Amino acid sequence: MFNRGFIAYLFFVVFLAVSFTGSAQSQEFEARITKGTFKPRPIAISAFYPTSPQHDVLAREIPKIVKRNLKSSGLFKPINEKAFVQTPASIYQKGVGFPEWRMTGTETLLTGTVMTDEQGNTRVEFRLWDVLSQRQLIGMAYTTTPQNWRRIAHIMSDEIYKRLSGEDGYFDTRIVYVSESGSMKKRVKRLAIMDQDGANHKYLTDGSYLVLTPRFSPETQRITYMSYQGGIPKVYLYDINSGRHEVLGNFRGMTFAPRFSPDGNKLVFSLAKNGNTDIYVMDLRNRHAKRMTSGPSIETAPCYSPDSSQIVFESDRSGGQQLYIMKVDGSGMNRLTYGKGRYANPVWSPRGDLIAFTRMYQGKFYIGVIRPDGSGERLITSAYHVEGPTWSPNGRVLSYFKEKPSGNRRITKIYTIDITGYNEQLLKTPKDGSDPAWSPINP
Amino acid sequence: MALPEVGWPTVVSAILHIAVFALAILGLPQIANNNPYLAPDEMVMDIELFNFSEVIESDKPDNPQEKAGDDVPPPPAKPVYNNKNSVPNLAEPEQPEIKDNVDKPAEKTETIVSDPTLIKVPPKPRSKPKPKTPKPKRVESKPLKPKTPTKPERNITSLLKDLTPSDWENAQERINSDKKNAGRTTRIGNASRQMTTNDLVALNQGVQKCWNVNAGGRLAENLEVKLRVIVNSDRKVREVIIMDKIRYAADSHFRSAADAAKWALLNPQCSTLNLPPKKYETWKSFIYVFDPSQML
Repeated sequence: MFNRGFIAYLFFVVFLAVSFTGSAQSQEFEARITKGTFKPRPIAISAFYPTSPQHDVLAREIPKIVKRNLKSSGLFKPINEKAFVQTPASIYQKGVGFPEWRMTGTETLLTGTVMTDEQGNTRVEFRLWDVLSQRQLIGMAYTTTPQNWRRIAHIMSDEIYKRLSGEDGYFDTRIVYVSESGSMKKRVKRLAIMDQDGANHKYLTDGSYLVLTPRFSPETQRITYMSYQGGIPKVYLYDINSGRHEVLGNFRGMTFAPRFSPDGNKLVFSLAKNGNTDIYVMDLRNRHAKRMTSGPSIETAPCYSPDSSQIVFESDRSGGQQLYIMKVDGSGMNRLTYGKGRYANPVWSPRGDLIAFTRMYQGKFYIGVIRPDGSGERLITSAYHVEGPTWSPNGRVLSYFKEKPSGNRRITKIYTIDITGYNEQLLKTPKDGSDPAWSPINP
Repeated sequence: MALPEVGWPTVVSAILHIAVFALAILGLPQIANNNPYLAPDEMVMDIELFNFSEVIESDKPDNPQEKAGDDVPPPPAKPVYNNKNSVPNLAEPEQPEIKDNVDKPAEKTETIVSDPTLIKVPPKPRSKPKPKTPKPKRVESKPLKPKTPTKPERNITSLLKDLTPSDWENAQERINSDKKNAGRTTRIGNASRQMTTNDLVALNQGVQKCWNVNAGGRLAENLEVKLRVIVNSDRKVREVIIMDKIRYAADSHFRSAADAAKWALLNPQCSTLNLPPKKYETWKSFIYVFDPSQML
């Protein structure tokens, strides 16, 4: 009745039909978009809900700090509170009304509460909502003493920043810098430290001797800097915990431009000796120093790569001031820059993808970035005098100082800028400031 | 040679084989989902508790007369995770109303501007006579002139600022690189025959103003995101599904890029897509690839 030929024919016909139908259904058309925009992301930051009147202040102030942090990054644009569609009490009691919040134009919404836990500590909870998808993105709670509220706000900012940008935050950090005051002939320079937003400002030295180029240790509790105490420039270590200053070593000659290695166990610096300046590395555990460069040229301003495998520095061995890279053992030296003018103060990004520097040409100063292979050089800011770049710990923001003449004096201020070259912001200090150095994330 | 006859067991076996074959290709039948607001996969939320044990000094105004050498308190100890099961009791969010009476946008006579960077596919000859339908008015598009930058604004052609003057020696290298990039063309992908180049250009032009790219992010040029987009017949986006869920869960940069792409389609300003209404069967579900590499 049914022969194999008929069965085979049936198989073939069904196979063709199924293949045709299946392929037609699985071939959804694919569109590709390659052009977008680059603008701050809208975010609504609601005041937190205080479960008791004693928490009113924190419920208002913590979101304010978060708002200020996120706005200062240039990546976020807080929605005007006048556009809000719910009060903190309404959110706490009824939940988030997503359709209403969609109309405000925001993508995300931050809400939170402040309460006292059973031990009497202050407990702060926050939730970040995806308004468009109507779901929660992150939710966290912190318990602390009331006086610690600023740090909660910074940690919260870091969490939100990371969730929305994909990168680590940088708000729970500090900046050490040189505070300047007085006339040009009698300039007073003191070491100072503050939170990255300018709060909690403290002086570390009394101004009786000149201080320059402070740098944070990776574990944040030590600062290295150059000082003219005693009339000879030397590198010092300052312990934040104990307040103790100590000379790095008793070198014959001038030591300057110190930087820590990423693990904090070594210090790389320059030493001018017998008319020649070379780069040295000192192991802080045994205080043994090793010279890394030689020759009649000037080598200075060294900086480790974040993986500790290379050192970038400036040298005039080619006849002009340019940047070079070498391995940590001093071998494999390669020239990094070839541009006109002079290059100085190279600083390797914590991300490892860029090196920031100061460039001088035709009477003007620039801050620029370049990839470690020498490509992609970009100048992102310029001024009458600008130098001293330092990276935020996530490698996204640069800080530096600008100086401009004003009558018979000069005004020196610290600024920050995004690596895209946008969002330059003034970092307010009580007096003039220079030589900023950014700490890692607070432990 | 005469072929041997086969019995019913062979026939039944053949039918079963065919059925298995069909299932393998087509898959199991999907149960219809009538909820237009199908929620995406829920993310497990961690509530972490941190305990600050040290006190830092209060935020008092700076005193310029302050003496040096004052103790600089180290930052308070890192918070400690101390109660995993404590979950704040918050009210559940209200379910949104499903509105059926959506006001249709007013009919617009759109000016279709062809993207000069796209490869123009010549129209195929029609085998059947075309039905008589009124043709939409089309304004001839003028060739796009290269824009001269007047001020350093953020735009898609100069996301990364560069102050290097054009007469410096390394500017030539940059100019050559820009020319090379400008020569690249955008791939359309596996577009159905029914979706024309102009259709896709119009679609992209409606979405690009809502697609926010993190220009300075790490590995920003390696964050291509594929989305499956489900669209209602009124051209409103109903659902967006991120296809690479594994990478979404593991890679924070990709997660940020995927969220940005998703929000571009859910943004009320862009959630009604520029799609030809008569081709609904083609675009009711499609793959949308967000590729930022050419912007950076």
